[in-house]
Amino acid sequence: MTIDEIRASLATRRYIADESLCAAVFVALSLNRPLLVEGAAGVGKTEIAKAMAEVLGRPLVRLQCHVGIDETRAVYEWNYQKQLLAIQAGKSERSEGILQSIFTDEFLLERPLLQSIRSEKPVVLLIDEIDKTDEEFEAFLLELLAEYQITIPELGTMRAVTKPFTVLTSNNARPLSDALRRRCAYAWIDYPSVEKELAIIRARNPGADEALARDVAGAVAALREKQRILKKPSIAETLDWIAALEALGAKRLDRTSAEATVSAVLKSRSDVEEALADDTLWTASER
Amino acid sequence: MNTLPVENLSVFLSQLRSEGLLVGPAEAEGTLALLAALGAAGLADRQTVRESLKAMLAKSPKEGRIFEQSFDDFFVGGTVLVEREVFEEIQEAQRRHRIDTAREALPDYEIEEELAEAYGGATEERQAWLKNMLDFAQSGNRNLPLMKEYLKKIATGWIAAEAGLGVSGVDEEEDNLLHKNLSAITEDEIPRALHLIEALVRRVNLQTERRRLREGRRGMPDLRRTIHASLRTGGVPVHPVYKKRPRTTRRTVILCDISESMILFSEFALKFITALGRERGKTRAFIFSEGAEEIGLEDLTRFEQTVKGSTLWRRGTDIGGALAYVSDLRPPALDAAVTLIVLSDARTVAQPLAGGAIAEAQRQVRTLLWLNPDPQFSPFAQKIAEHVPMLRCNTLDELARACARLSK
Repeated sequence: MTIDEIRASLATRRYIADESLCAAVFVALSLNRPLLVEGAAGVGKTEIAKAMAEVLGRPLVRLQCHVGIDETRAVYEWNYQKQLLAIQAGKSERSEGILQSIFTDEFLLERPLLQSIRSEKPVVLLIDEIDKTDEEFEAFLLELLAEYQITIPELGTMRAVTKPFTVLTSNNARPLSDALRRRCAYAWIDYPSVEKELAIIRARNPGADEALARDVAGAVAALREKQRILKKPSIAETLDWIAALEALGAKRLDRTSAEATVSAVLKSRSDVEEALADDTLWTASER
Repeated sequence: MNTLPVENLSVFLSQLRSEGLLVGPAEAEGTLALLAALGAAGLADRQTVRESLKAMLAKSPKEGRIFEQSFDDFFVGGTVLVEREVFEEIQEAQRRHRIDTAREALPDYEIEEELAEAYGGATEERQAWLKNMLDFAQSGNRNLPLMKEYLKKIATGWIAAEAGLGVSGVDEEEDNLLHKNLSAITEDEIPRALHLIEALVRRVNLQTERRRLREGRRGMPDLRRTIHASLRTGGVPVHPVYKKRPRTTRRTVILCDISESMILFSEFALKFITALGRERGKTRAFIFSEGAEEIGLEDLTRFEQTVKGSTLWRRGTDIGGALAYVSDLRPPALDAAVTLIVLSDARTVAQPLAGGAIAEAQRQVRTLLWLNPDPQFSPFAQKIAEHVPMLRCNTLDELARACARLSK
């Protein structure tokens, strides 16, 4: 798959990607490396994994990371209840035999990481918000991401039946280790330019009025530029905003329609006040 | 782009290494594999190679910028080479013109090229200043070579500034803000500082949560509940249960000095502390100058307006009076479960009374902590620091560290 083909395929799944992101996907696919995507909240980091799952025609396996996540929630866990039942049922057998029989696939509960490498069909593995995990878990991931294998003490090392296309996302809540970064192809997704945002609006909301879409894209870009706006609007919020304006029957973005709908795009009182105080944001269409 | 000789690639990778990128043998091997993949896919144009190599070798936005600069410098295309030559010629011509202009304007002085270039490119005001300095140097009252050396240094600085050298990137700006003296933060920088505070709070909260989880697992085993839980697994203690640490309701009282030099610090610190302690008990805040009054913490974005609308704004500072006001509140604001945090530079009237009030407050509360933004503690602050833990919070970084200590 070439870079242009990647871009085109993503576009058919309504994901508008720029050249650097397509190049990073190309690197990850060509070299069988995980793709590490960083960027502000709401720029489409998780969406790229979903879109790639559709492009590659693979199921998406998602591991949502959080503080305190460990191997039992990410990789595997033994089904203790079932093991105990098996022990009770086979009391007359020799203990060695029982021990061997209860540490088998039958008693293994697969979690997303193990599921992704044992799948007969290749999958897209999304490890979302990796920065929320602690360093120990990140170190554990290294084996998986470098060798596509997981070691289970009772069963030995399990190699990937099929290599998953892995996407890791991070919001930079903490810096990731160099070891992890080195194993990945890297992409930084920035807030989109006005033209790219317009293309996203067209792709996601094909019925949107062109003039209204242009007004909204311009205003959102201006809001992101304003230093005093602390929570910058994401792409999803842009789409919400245009939907809200359409619901109101607005044809252009002016002060009245902005006042009624700005809460769809700005989520704190100080940001709303700051935005409404600046008339240049809303009057672009009137000039 | 033609096929890349391995020697060229090796030199390029070592250049990236010298720029601080982590490029080892694994990356070199990966790069070769990537170029082979690009070749096999028939993708050999410069832009594609550049973006692909960037995805492979640069692992942060900052490294991305370094990579782009290095790539553009190293793999110069034919058109760029010509453009660069033309640009350099134009620059040289402009430099010569500046020197000639300076030498025509100052025929009586023997000045070196650097000085002449700076004079030629300077504003009228700077030219007048430089001419005065040269007159002064020529007058025979001063050591001429020494003066010329001094002027040359200044001229070099002008030329460097003109060329835009030393312009820092976004990350560096953030880093600078983190370590900038709080009193020097300008009005324009405040939104960025507030944004930075949010990021720091998230980071500190994450660290605290991780530590809490780790310590939670290492707590004392709860035998009774472990045995009870084991009934579900046939009496085998598969899931050990640990005792929870007793969680007392911690309350925090914050006293914010609102003298003009302190208002920004008080706002930053208040945002930090309340964000960190949001889920850890109740927090009350008081602003003080000559007296004190309680403020709400629901909307701290209006802190400045609240302070400036208060009758306490632009009055003298009386720490003793403020502490006495808070101590005498009924129902009591201070008791043995309270952590009292004072945000002040400890510059106050009636210092002996203030000393007594601080001792009394310390007796009443569980912990008294003082956050002081002064880079140099005043003599009275030094006296207080002998009895009360006083943390220096001159920068956002220091403030974050102090607040992280509070959240432990």
